[in-house]
Amino acid sequence: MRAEIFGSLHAQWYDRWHAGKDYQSEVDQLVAVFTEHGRVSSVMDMGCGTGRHLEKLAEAGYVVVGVDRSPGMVAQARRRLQPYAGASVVQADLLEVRLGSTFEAVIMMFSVFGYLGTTGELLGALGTARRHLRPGGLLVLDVLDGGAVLSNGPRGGFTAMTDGTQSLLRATTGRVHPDEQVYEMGVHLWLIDGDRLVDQDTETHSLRFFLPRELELILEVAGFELIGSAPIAGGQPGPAREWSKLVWARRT
Amino acid sequence: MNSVFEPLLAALSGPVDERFHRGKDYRAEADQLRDVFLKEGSVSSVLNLGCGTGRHLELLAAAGYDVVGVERSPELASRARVRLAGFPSRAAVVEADLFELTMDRTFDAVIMMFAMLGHQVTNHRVRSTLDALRRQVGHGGLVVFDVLDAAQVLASPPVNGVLSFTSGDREVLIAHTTVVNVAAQVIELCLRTWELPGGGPVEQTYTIRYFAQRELALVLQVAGLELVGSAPLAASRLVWARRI
Repeated sequence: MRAEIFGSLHAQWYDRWHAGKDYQSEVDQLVAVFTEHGRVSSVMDMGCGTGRHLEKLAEAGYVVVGVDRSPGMVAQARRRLQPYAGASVVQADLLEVRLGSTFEAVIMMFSVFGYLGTTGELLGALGTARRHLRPGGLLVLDVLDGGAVLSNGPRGGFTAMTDGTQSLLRATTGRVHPDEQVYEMGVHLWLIDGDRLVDQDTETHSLRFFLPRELELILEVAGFELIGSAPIAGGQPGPAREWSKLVWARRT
Repeated sequence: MNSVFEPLLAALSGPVDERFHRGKDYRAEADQLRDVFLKEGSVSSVLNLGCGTGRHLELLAAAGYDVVGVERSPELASRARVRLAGFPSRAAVVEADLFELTMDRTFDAVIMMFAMLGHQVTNHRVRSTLDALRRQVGHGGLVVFDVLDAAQVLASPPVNGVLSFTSGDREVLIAHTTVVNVAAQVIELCLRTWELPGGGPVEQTYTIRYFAQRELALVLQVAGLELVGSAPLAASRLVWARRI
């Protein structure tokens, strides 16, 4: 597993880039699942990134703990969660972290699960989730739906955003690898300041996709019962979002 | 590209008339099975679960393998016996349900064709089926089967139409529709068969699960088998695994 998924240029622009991402709709969807399937007051976020989901959950009154491997992301998440007394962020690897406490819900959002790739890593992350859940607790995660990926085929795209004198151009390419069961998204970034190209970077994001009965099986093997799924709320553009669904399961 | 569905259709409508097997090339499939047997170890005995009328077994027996077929349908089992009558010393057919099968011996390889694993659909039934396959081989023994491949199924346009052929003095018409149910991870294949004059239509629906690559490795691992390899087989995928 690579140490960092996002390069520094991407990390610097991450929040500006995802400023338009509809975290509120996603959090509303999470809260609806929490309310329908249990009595949730504490939430652990595995792969919390800059803490956008956690901020809204904390605001809604949940006691939240975030875990992320990236020191940069953790620093941003800590700043964001400062106003909330019960909130904390831990810098650790998802496969190794042991908080020594349990929660009523664990979330893994923004394709964190699919980035793990191998079955061993997936089971490792599910093991972490299970250890931090009380019996009957809820696991909620989003995954790239194999049905959508394989029916639609690869998709590329281009977007640009401007902040002051700077513009960030982003081109994406898609490739489907059926044998590895991976959707590979190539991302090329160019940072323009005024009339000069000041930085550029290329990243490859490999996301595993899942078929529905496969997901049911892997959850079962890891000690969870799949109880529901739905298209992810918020209607974000781009293959990784349009083809993702939210899945929730109960610790058995 | 061949349709994923055509060989499947031929296999499913095959029992209606043996001569009708357009799109299903048993010899090529048997050759591919032999290649796997040769590559992966020393195989001399082969058990075929769900042998149908024994088309694969006939070719394997002719190639020198000791073969036993297991078939639940009395009609298909008796047709397989007739077909294998030429190999009395090395071919036998047992009429039994594969979930209830008890054999007093193991085989070097066990095969299950016609996308039969996918007919089991649920994880629970797929696991039970793989357990049944696993029981029939010794440690290190080979388990070989074919499945519908998710990538191919989802990229293939559905094939709807009518097949027609003559069987003796009757005209046979088979109208078929295919629906890919992505949420349930299955294809639903409906066949309506007329044998004219006089017969039909008889309607049959088959629900068959398709599998992705890593999903297969996981399913096998859970059943105590290790995925060794896979390769395209006609328009589906041949998968071979070893008992751990």
